[in-house]
Amino acid sequence: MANALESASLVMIPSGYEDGTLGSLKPTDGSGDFTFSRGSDISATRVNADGYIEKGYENTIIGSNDFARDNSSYLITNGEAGYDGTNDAWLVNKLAAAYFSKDALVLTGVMTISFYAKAGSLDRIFVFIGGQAARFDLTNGTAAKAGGTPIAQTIELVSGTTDWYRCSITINKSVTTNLLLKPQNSSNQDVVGTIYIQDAMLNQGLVAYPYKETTTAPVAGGILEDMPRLDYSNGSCPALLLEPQRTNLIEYSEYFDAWNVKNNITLTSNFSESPEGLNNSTKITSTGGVSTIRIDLPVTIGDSYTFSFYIKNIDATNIKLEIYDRANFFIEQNIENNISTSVWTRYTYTFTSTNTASNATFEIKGFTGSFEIWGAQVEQDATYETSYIPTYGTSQTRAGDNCFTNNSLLKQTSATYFLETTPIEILSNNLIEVRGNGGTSNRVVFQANANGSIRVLVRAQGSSILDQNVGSVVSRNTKVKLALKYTPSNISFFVDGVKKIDTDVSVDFSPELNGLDLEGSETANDDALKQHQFLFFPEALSDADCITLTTI
Amino acid sequence: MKVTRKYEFADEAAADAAIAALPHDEEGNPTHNNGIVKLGYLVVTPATYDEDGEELTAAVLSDVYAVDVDWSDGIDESWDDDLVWPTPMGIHSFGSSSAREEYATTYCELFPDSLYCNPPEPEELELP
Repeated sequence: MANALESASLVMIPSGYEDGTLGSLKPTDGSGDFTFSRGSDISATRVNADGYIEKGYENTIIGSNDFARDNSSYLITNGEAGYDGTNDAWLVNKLAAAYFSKDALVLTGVMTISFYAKAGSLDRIFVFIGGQAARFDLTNGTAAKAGGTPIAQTIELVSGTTDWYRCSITINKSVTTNLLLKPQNSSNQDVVGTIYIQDAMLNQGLVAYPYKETTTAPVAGGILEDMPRLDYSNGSCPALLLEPQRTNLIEYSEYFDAWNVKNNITLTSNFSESPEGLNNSTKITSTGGVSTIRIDLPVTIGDSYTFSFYIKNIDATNIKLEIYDRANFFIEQNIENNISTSVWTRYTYTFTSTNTASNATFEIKGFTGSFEIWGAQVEQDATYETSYIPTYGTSQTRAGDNCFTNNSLLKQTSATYFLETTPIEILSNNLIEVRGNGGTSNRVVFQANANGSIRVLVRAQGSSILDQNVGSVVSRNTKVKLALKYTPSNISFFVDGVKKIDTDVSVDFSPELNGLDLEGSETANDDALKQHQFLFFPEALSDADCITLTTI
Repeated sequence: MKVTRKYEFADEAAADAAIAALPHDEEGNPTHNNGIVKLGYLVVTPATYDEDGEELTAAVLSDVYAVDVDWSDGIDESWDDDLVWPTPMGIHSFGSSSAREEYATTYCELFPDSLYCNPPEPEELELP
């Protein structure tokens, strides 16, 4: 056959996208683009092109680079050379022993406050927020706790500079408060003098995220609310990740010091590089006795839960995972041999609760030595794990992904659909839906089912003209290539290079098919899959072409 | 834009009845795009534990059944009788920065005198 991309009239191969839109390669005028919606940013993640888990985040400081203050103890002026090659830095001239401030910061759980600073005539800066304090040395590049119990304080030399540092302090508070700062000398004295400061940021999480400038409202970065997630977990070619709504019941998915029980262990937050590629893993070290890290969560009898976490061993032995719903233990297993000392492993366990309890226990216990952990998740009503949902003090729900186009190109009396997809689940999991207006009377659906079959459902004018299962052709997390072609008198279906259905039947869609849902449903998405490509041909291709298209 | 609202029902059956009254097709599948999370009977007083992690006192649960809704198609006003306004964002959110901002703004319009909307000034005496 001729080049498939040339013959197709609608081509979706995940590449171009923006918030709310997934681009189609054809038509080239944008008329075939898909509308994308999810409505979750902070709780959405993907594996990016570098192989790291990428999150949504937000700078919630208003006026993030406005340090002007009506304060008789300070003269603060802007227009100074900054760390980023701009002249947007501020000269802070301290005239008397006092603080200057960024006001009314809303803290919601685990948050990191950061700013860029450079020594002037003074070379230290003292930071106080929410009862926590840290001091940063702008000459030696060191940070130290200076009061309260901050989770961490970090100072990093800005790449490409010799004297600008990004300073950050991480705390766990839910309050509205002021950020107070004061320059000091190398003896920590409140003498007069100067420093330079630029670009403050307040974000959820254990570390500072890439700076986003704000003026009158918070500004988001990373995964945005309605941004398609192009997922690179299978390599260099991305797939469109489409998942149902899920809730992470764990309120602190990365800050393990907030878990319910921490017996005979020490925890080191921000120990090393996590699967996110940032320095925010937690090291857990046994101090002897029965070492235990545990979180308690409510469970309901008959509901399924999936517990997952990322773990990397250091030198721990007998790493015992235990889940108990206060009636039965579901797993009491040493997972030491399932995890690595060199790469992160996402360990997952699914169970159905036999009890209703407010405090089922999820714990790792009995170990000696140390391991790293990050990204813990308990999903409710879940028989399989979905992508990571970060939490910083409250449980979070990631809404379902929806991706569709309504396009008259699809209105054809003969046509061929080609789909390359990876089902994440095969329990009544729709892989795609092509539909006409007005409910479910006219539609074509591919559905993966528990026995590895694909159900091909074709409805026209309210009747199911084809509803057939093709057995043992799909499995979880395995790519499959599917093609369906129809003429006014025939429907044929192909899987991985093999013709599986060839049935003569009258095909007369009315109203004609004109809608395409890549997540498999026009309404709330409850399907989980990765779409690699979808091609639409405004003709019934030959059997040979369909076999060529679908051959793995 | 999606809007988050929080509700408390007398029990789970009442919550299920309200959810079932939202649009569904003839097979019982939802035909709305609202996100619904049944939080259940929330913990009012957490359990306490001894130094070995054994429970000393059981958690005390609320006597009302909590549900969060992420309204996509506009707020269904028939739910208003069960609407509640925990301090933003309560124990759960839909991971949406815009929905969080909308909830917090509306909360402060409704409860302008609340502590959340009137944070106290830092106490200078506590400063190092």
